Amino acid sequence: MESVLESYPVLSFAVYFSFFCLTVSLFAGLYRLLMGPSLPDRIVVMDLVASLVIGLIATYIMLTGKTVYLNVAVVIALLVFMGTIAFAKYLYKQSKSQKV
Amino acid sequence: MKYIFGFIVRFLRLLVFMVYYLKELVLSSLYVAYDIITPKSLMRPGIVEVPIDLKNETAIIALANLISMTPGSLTVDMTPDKRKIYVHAMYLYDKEKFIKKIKTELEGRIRLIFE
Amino acid sequence: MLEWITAIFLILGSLFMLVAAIGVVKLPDVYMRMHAITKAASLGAILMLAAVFIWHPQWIVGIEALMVVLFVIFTAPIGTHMLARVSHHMKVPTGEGYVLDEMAEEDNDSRGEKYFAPDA
Repeated sequence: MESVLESYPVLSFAVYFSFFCLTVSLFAGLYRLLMGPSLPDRIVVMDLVASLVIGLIATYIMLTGKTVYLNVAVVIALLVFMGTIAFAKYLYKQSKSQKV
Repeated sequence: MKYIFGFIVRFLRLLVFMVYYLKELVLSSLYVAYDIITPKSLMRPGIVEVPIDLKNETAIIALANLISMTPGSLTVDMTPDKRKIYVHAMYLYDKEKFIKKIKTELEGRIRLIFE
Repeated sequence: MLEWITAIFLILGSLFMLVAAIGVVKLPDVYMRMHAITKAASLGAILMLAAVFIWHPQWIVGIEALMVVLFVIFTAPIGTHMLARVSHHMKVPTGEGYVLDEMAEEDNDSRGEKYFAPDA
C-alpha cells in the first residue's frame, strides 16, 4: 500500500491509529464469535464486523486516495441488512420446528 | 399554492426530525460508551410494554427506529394488532417515567410529521 | 486545519468502533450487545465516512457516502429489532439483574407469523 499522505503527518498518524483500533475490534469480535453462548450472539458479531469493514474501507481510502472503493461500502451496507434478515427468518423457522 | 406551502412545512419538519435523530444517535452512543467503559453497577435491564396510538405504518416504523436510537432503549417486538411495542430498557429505575418519556417526547414528534 | 479536522473525525470514529467491540465482548447479554452495536458502531461508521468526505470533497464521494450513511442509519435498528425478536422467541438466556420482563407473560407462539409467514 503506497501512501499519499507523506506530507501530512497528523493525518498519517490518525490513519494508522484507526487501523490499529479497527484491528483490535476485529479480534474482539472474533473472541465473541468463538465464545458466544448462543447463535444470535454470533449474528450480532456479523453485524459488528460489517460496520468495522465499512470503517476499514474508509481508512483505506484515506491512505491511498482511491475513492472508487466507496462502492464496496455501499454494497456491504446493503448486503449485510439482507443477511441479518435472512438469519432471523432461518432462526425463527428452526426454533419453531424444534418446539413442535 | 396551499399545497406547496404544506409541502414546504412538512419538509422542514422532516429536516428538524433528522437533526433530532442524529442528536439522539450521538447522545446514546456516548451513554453506551460511558456505560461500557465504567463497571456495570448502573444497569437495571428489563422489557417494558408501551402502548402506542399511531395508525400509519410508516409512522410506526419511524417510531420503532427512533426508540432504538434513543439512549438506553431498544425495540424488541410489536403485537400483531399494532397497539403495543415491547421495549428493552437498560436503566429501568422508574417504569412510569420511561413510558411517559416515550409517549410524549418521541411519539409526539412522530405525530407532528406523519399525521 | 482541514487535516486536523479529518484526523479528529477518523480517530473519534475508530474509538467509537473500539468501544462497540469492547461492549460486544464485555456486556452480559444478547440484548445489551445489540444496544452496543446499533448505536456506537453506526456512529463510528458515519464519522469515518464524514472524514472521507471532508478530505475528498467531490460530488460522487458525497453522494455515495450519504447513501451508506442512510442505509446504516435506517437499516441497523430494523435488523437489530428482528434479531431481538427472534432471540426472545428462542428463549435465549438473559443476564442477571433483570427487573421485569413483560413480554414473557404473553403467548409467544402465535406472534411473528405475520412477519415470517411459512412459505407455501
